[in-house]
Amino acid sequence: MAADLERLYDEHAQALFAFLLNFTRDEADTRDVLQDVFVKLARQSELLAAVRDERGFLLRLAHNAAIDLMRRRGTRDRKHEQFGTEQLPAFARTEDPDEAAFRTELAAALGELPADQRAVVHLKLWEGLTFEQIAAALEIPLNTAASRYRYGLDKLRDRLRPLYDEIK
Amino acid sequence: MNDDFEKRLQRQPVRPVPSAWREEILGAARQAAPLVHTRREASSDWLVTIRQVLSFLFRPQRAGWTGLAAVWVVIIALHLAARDDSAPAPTMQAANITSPETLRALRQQRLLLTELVGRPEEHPPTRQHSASPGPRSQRWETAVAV
Repeated sequence: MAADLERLYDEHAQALFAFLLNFTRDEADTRDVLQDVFVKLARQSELLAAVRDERGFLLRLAHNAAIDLMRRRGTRDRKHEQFGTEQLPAFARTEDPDEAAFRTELAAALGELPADQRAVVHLKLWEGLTFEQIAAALEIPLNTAASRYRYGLDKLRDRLRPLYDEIK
Repeated sequence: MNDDFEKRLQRQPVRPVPSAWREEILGAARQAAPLVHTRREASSDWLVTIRQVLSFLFRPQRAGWTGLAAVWVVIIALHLAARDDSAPAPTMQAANITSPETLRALRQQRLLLTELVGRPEEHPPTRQHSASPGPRSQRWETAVAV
């Protein structure tokens, strides 16, 4: 089981990390949720027995764990209302100043999206999932996934259009 | 349909997961896993022991144990069959007793016994002890009179 956990981590931790960081907008929360996911996998090794799409299943686990965290926050100190407003480096560093500016603005624009739209946009753009896969991972209807993506992308486009046109 | 803007977004590389997290998270997961394993082992410890003992005893000579069981089945079947054959024997004895020759012999034996011992009605009836023997002084007077 330990070897299997290591394989799962090596294959999926990067994707889970990026998704959770974009969703929670908090590095400590991301780490906590990621650890929760792997502790759950260690305790319930049968979870993945009948799973065909490991990545999709793990994204669903991570999403549910993040939602649970938000709810706990909601009952404790209402900090979840601040989810998404923090400025954190969600993208890799670059030496190119134009790219660096665009990434900074992109991270900020993502933070302004509602969490449910942000999750769909992330899975579509940076995980390359289909709407069917996104709907399964987030446990939402297919049309909802598609509409959330469209709304989220439109907001990003409006927000980033000036900078995008400038550096294009 | 992907436009240039979407493609531009897709090209932005996300941050890599901090390398130090790997050991921390996997370490926490490994610590969580043995706890459950130990609890399961403890709960079914005696079952596992019994299964191991039975496996040790039976598995290596499975054919031998099967044969032995078959032999026992045959022995029990033969035993039941033999008991069925011997069951009518008392009936036969009863039939012999009720035969005329046996009855005649029994009657002769009874007559002989009567001659030797005497008829039961010839014996004087045994004196019945009274429930209350009476006072001791009267018992002494009776003994003196006899």
